[in-house]
Amino acid sequence: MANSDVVVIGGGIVGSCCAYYLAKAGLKVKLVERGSICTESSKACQGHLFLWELPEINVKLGRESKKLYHQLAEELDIDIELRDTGSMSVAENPAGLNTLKTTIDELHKYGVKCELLDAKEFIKREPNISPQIVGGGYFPEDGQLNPLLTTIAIAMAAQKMGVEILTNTEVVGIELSKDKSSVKAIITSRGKIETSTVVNAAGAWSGLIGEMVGVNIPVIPRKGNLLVVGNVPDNFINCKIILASGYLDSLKGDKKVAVAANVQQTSDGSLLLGSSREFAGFDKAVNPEVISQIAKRCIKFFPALAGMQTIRSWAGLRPYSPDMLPIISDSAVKGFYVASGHEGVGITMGPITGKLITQIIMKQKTDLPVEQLNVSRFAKKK
Amino acid sequence: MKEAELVIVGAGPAGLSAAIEAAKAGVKVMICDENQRAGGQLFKQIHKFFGSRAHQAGTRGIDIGQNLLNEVEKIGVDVKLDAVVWGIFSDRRVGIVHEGKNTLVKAKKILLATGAAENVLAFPGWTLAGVMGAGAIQTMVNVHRVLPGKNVLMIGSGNVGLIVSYQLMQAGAKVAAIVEAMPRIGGYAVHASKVRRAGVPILTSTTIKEAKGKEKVEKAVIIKLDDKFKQVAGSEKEFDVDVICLAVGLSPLAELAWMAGCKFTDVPELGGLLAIHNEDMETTVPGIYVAGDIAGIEEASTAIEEGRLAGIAIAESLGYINAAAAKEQKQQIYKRSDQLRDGPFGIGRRKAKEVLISRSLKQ
Repeated sequence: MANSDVVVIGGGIVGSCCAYYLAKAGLKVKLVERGSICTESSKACQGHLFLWELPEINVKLGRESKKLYHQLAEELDIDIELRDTGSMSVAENPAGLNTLKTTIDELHKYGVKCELLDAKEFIKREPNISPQIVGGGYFPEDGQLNPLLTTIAIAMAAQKMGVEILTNTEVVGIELSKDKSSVKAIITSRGKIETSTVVNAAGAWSGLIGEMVGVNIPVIPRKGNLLVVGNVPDNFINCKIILASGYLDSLKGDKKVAVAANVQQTSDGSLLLGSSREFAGFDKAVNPEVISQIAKRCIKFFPALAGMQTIRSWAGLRPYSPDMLPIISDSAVKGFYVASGHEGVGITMGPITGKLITQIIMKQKTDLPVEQLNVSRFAKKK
Repeated sequence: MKEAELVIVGAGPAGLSAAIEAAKAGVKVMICDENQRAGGQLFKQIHKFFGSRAHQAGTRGIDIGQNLLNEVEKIGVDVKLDAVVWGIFSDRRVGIVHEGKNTLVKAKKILLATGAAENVLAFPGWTLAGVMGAGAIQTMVNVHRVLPGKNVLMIGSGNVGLIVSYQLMQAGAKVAAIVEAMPRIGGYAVHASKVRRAGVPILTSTTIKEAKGKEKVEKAVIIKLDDKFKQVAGSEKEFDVDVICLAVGLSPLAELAWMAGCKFTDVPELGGLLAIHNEDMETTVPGIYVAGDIAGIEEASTAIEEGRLAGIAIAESLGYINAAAAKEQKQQIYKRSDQLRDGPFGIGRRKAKEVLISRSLKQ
């Protein structure tokens, strides 16, 4: 195969965004993907642009990324169903409300628009919520898009700018220089591509790619199950994204399975019910016990759901990073870059990740400080 | 988690027959059906079946259904009605909502005998009240004894279209005509002759063009088709009818087989995409079997034979029947099935079934 300036590994949202911004910067790019564009985690998610995940760097990444999505929405050929929906979080008990208050206080310090609501106000805004709730929060900066359309639209736009997209092409090895200090080529199931620069955007599989060059990337798959409820009245929820308190706790990676209520209504009216976080290796099978728990938890907050029918369920693998921060960086191997570990905010942070990786590769000043996101934080101490 | 030796999904002719064979051999069987009554479509079949005596020729479908139910009860099968199987998960775990409660059952073997759903036909006016499927009409007329209308136009001249036309007349409705898009009648001559003798014209190379009416069907417009299935302008005919009955074939209800990860193949003669299965009715997923319309659209008699076959094969694989005895019983079923798949109507299905089974060997 012909050589290339940069090879991006992975055709999910992160890989597609990396290819897009690299091509925009004038580089000759190939994107290699084991399956097809958007067939793993990026199509298995809800499409929530989640702008209040702490610490502060995550908030900043999310915000910048949402701005980029608004620019992209203008440029792309496909309507990505981007909506400034805002989101709400609901508390079932005083402890939950207290945690929410602490989060909101901290977010205010970073200039994030958000407010605490009492039960009465919450119920006024969302009449279908259980009257048992004690209050909640409102986060007007959050948004929503269609993740499948978005990923495909960005990949198509990248292709239009000259990116060569190689699907059904699996990376089987990476050839390094004799002293193992720099990238020379990648070996795929369909041949060798000479390149000095590789971006590892293989998501839940990025740890396996890291092993090929001896870079420790402790990203592992974390399964999420979703349920779809069809034929839901348009006004079932007014704010289209409602998370239950306990959602943030479910992110903390110390349990084998954590379940939270996360109810979102898409542009076509369907409800997506999540969410779960489960360490189960690379097994993508729907876990029937977990989806039952999700349904129960969602019914607790929206009792009317008990009378509705789920029409589908699926599971995907999020790329879990042990310190809850993404990896957007160069590495000890010259020419080997990493864009991974976004876990639940890959869709949120796709564009800013692509832009930052491009700036890092082009040795430009980055839009945001990226030191905290360097993969060297996981380097094995010698 | 609850455990079961064999979970059968669907208590129609295939499911009940499998339950009887497996339970006779000693297998503990749980059979689930989402309806309030077992028997599947058999209780709509008030006509006498025909064929050989081995296939209960001369017996009405409702009686065959009742016999199967009696036998199931006698042997002691766990029959769960109002039990929706909502999913099949890894390690043969079956999600069941029974009387409003959700349980997960781990099964050693699963038989999917979920049957089929009616195909529909879209044409201007098809959403008007009075456009109905033949199955719905059979339920109304034969089970609930309610006549859906007075004047009916039947679309489709397969056995279902022919039999339902006759049953509608028995119930007091008038059948204006049976239209058939193909150049020849789809069903058995014996059924076609019966409705013709009763004065119903069967119009081949003809289709429905439009249903007219304000809130419900008032008129049906039919039109001739040429040899390329194009409508022949100017050949329209109007009928004053209040019911248009669609009897345009069935499609296998295969969602659970898809969910279980079974491999599929397209066999148009048997209803389209089907779960590939072997001579024991086992799919490409070990321990998951299919029988009846889900394994290819045929008749109740073939569904019964396939159910028996699956029941015996499952009992054998669980060690309740030795290989020699199972082989002998299976040979008898193959012989009877071949008799059912014979003659100008059956031979095509027999060949298609052979293709389907040969594809399982390639897996």
